[in-house]
Amino acid sequence: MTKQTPNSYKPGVDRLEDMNKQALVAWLEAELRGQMHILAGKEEDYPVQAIVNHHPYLSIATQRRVGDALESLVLDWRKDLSAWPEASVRALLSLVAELGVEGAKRKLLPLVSDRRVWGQIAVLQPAVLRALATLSLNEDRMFWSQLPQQYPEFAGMAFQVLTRIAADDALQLLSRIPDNGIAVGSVARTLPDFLSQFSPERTIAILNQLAGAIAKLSSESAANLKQALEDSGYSISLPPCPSKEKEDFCKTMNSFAKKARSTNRLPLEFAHAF
Amino acid sequence: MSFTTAKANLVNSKQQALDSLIVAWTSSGAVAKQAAANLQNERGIEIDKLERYLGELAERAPQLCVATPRAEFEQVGKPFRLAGHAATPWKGVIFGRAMLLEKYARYVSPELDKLCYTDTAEIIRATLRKLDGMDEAAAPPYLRGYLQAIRQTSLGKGAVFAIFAKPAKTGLRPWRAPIPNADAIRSSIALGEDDEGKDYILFAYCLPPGVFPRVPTTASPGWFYQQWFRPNDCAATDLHGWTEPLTPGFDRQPEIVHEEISGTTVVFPIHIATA
Repeated sequence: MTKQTPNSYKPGVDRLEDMNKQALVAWLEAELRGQMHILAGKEEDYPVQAIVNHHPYLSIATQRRVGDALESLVLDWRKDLSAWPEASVRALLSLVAELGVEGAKRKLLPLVSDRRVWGQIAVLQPAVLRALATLSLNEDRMFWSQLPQQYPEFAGMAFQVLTRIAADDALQLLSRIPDNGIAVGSVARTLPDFLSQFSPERTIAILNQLAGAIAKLSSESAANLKQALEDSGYSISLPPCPSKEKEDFCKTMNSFAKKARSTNRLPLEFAHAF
Repeated sequence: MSFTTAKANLVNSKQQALDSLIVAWTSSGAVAKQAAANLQNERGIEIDKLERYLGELAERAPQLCVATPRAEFEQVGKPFRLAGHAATPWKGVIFGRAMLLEKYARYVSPELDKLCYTDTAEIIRATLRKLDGMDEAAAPPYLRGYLQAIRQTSLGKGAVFAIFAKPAKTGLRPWRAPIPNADAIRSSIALGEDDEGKDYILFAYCLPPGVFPRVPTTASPGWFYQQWFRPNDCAATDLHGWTEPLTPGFDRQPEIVHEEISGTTVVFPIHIATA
């Protein structure tokens, strides 16, 4: 059953219903830039929450026009990346994601594939990927599976998206998660909920696979993942960790070398030989 | 009557302009009607400040006599939204704020980005839920960045409304177990512009040194929240406002306003009120 439009939303809904696409583009841009607020809400609701609140009460045709207007604004921003304040872009990206503006996906993807442009929006990279993540469907699994090769710092986010759109691809990505705190932390925050969707038998098989993947990580990363699983009631037994042995060996050798002469350092090739 | 006294101190032309404004608002929509009533019942501010506020409103009366005078009203009100009586007796209490979880997830994400916690929006919301009831010391390493990001994120914008438990006791939180559900939160603190059926994140916090609570004035809630705001008749002696629950069956809560602050002084754990 469709909810009745709350009385206090009616004036705002009526105003938006009367706007054509061009008027919506002008209004949305002014909202996003903080120059105008016409919808009911308090200061902290502007611009995104007030629009998200009113959106379900718009007619389908107006919702479509709002989506088209947001797509136009994404294009405007893309054409001149420096012309929009960071907060306005974040609000725009939140809106396209939360209102499910699927067309925006095609307009955002070129930003990721062009390294030069991607570098220009360093501070907004997570926000762009977050919007793409929300809009992604199963057909986008290749993009997310390949993203960690290009940008390892977003491997954890890629895993998070894949758990939703392509579980098998997420499992494959687990075995090549880069050993850095960012990626491992993202996986740790997602893994227990991801596992909870599988049958007990499948969960055991996945945990075994996971144990192998975890064993390749540094002791700190492995401990992080193990704790996340144990905190959610999963038990995982890790095989002896070669990297841990290597870490211990390196520490011992360093300590020995420094005792012999304080300026000594363990040669890298020696460590690799181990 | 504060309003009558303050109005009487204005020059005739301003008194007439103010009267016309009140008449226009009273015969207008629900928000304007309530704004007129709130203004006439104002008790939270010293007479001389109220006189200045009314004088400003009178001067801009033509621009305020439109269907939605939000921008103009909030512009005029800006210097007065934190100009209520000093709510000094409550300076040391633990205050409470409720924000829609989806809104807060958006708020906190730039801070998470700075800490390289690059999670999807879905996972940010899910992780905030996992912090429900979790003591800071108990947070595992993979969640600690979230607590840090919460401390760096603003607890609200503009004149920030907060509730507290009365009678006040050291360490007493505004919400205690069992934590009310989202409907009870929305209703008891009159978050009338939040759509129903959504979860809230609840913060308990102290005011940092140098930040003082104030009695809310008619200028504090901005335009649209006039509909949900009621001045406290006894504001001058209570030194706080009262929320006006949206539906019967919920207790009103004592409330104050303060300037924007970050979450540095949040008293963990946070709680989630589910719909």
